[in-house]
Amino acid sequence: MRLLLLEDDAILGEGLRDFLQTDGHRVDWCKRLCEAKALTGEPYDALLVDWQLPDGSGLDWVRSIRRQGISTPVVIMTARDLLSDRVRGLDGGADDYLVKPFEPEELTARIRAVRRRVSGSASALLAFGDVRLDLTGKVAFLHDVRADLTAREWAVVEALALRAGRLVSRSELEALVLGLDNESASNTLEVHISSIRRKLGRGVIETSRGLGYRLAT
Amino acid sequence: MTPNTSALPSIRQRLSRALIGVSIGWGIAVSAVVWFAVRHEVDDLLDNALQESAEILFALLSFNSAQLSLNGGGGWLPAPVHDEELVWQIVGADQQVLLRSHRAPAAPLANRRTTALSSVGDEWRVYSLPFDTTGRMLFVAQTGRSRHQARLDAAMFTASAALLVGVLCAYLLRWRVRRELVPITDLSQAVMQFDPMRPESRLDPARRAELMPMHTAISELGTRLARRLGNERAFSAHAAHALRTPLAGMVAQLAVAQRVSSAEAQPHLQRTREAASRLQRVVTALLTLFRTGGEVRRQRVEIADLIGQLSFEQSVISSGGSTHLQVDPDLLAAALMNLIDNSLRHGASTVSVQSREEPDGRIVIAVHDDGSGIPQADRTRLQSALDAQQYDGGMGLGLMLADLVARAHGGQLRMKSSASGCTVELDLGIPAAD
Repeated sequence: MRLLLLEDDAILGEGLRDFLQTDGHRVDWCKRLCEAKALTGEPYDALLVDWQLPDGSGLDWVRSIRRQGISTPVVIMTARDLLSDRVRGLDGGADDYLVKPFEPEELTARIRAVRRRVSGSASALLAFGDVRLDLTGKVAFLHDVRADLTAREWAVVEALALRAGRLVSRSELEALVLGLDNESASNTLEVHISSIRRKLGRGVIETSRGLGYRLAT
Repeated sequence: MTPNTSALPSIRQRLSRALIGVSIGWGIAVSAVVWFAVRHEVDDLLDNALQESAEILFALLSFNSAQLSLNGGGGWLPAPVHDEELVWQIVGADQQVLLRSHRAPAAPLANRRTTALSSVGDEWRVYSLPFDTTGRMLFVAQTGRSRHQARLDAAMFTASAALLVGVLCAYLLRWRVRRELVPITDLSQAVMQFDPMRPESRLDPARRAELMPMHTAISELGTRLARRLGNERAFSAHAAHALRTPLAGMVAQLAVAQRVSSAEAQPHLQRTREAASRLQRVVTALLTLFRTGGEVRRQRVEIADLIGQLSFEQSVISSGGSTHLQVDPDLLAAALMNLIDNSLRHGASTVSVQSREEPDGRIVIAVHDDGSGIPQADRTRLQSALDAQQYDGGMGLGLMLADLVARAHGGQLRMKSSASGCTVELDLGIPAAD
């Protein structure tokens, strides 16, 4: 998943960024609200937002992007643990509210949960024809046989699975999955898709020329 | 906790007792004074009446002295049968009664030869006056019994009236005292409703000038308290942010380190992460307890659910029962977290958290572990310290926090003896919720 992490604390921000990256996510880490605002148009799977930032309120920014019609899932991460704060956070447009300190594993579980809710599935197990995906274990099965996908290939499959039923443009897909690591430029999206089709079947990803990709149901 | 007011002296009772005492004393003193004054005045009045009567009688007898039989023999003038209050005698110079009223004694009433008032024992009060130039005397007398009765009647009436007025005044004053103390009761109730932390909360104005200093002092105390609590809450909020964020950073960094480090480093990192998790729980509990300042925000909580939400390995905790309680879930969670954490740090592999109902209906939550336990002597010392709320020295943070939470709910923490391990009971002093 491509995640925007908005956290001003260097130790926490770096720790979460590295943890999420080792979990296979692409993370854009902003320490200031102004940096996050500059990325508002980018496609993200989830926004991880600290409430209190040096240049403003993270919750106010969440309210503003909700007013702009952006429905990307938001997880508020904050030290404010009063019931009234939690209510304000969730009413302000957040999909989940996590009180610091927390275990990073809990954060990733909550990210998966809010993504599942957005994609309309309550389960972490998704089925697309002969292909089954375990979003928690990050594992794909073809005819109940585990397919050995690379982290990048899984990221492509996961991005399409979380947007099941709609076409995902090439540029959006690139924005969501490329840049996970220091991969060479020669590893293009087509290479990954071709590899996925070899492992999960040719028909698993449908291509609409000039429009984008989607998982075949 | 409400103190036992019956053990304290009551202003109302003290004032009432003093008023009744003063009133009774005043009534007795007034009655005594009235008694003597009336006796004296009645005596004067009776003497005057006796004297005037004697002079009228003298005039009447002198006017008709020629017709009077003054030859001796002690005769009396004819008169209808009646109760004589006044008797008279005409006594010769030889002390022989010459003439008398029909109730007068046959012997002379007095032995005087001049005009004078005199008493003959308690029996007679006599007014003597010379009747003529031959030495005959006119004695007019009143019985001591009738004079005494007159004095008694007058004194009794006035003394009774004085006493009655005194008693009435005492009851009136007692009623008045009760009424005058009502503003103090009203002020006490207003203070009980007064919450200085709520801006809209105000003490009603004092209704008596004497209560103004107390009213002002309480209002100012409330203002100081609100300011201090406000500062503490602000500090707590800042402290929460200052503590929680670095802790979260530390945990995140450790989680990353665990993923990228060699197998040899894993046990050390795991232990460091467990310590960080414990630090998280302690900080969370401290912040929760001190932010609330002991203020309990009760809501209906299912104990087993609450335990299930604690950040411990589920295999460590076994909860029993499905009791619901009206408690502050944050505070109770903090207390249980610290008690369980204590158990784990003292070698427990299993911690059982079970609730049970006491005969009087109170619910007690028992935390039992299979750890190293506490020696009897130490347990007794700890219990004494808990009973006296002397948390300084010899007691861990966990026990102190748990006891504070229990006391905030109306109960207390108890160290129990057990065959193995350690048992601590969290008595919240409340029955199960419906």
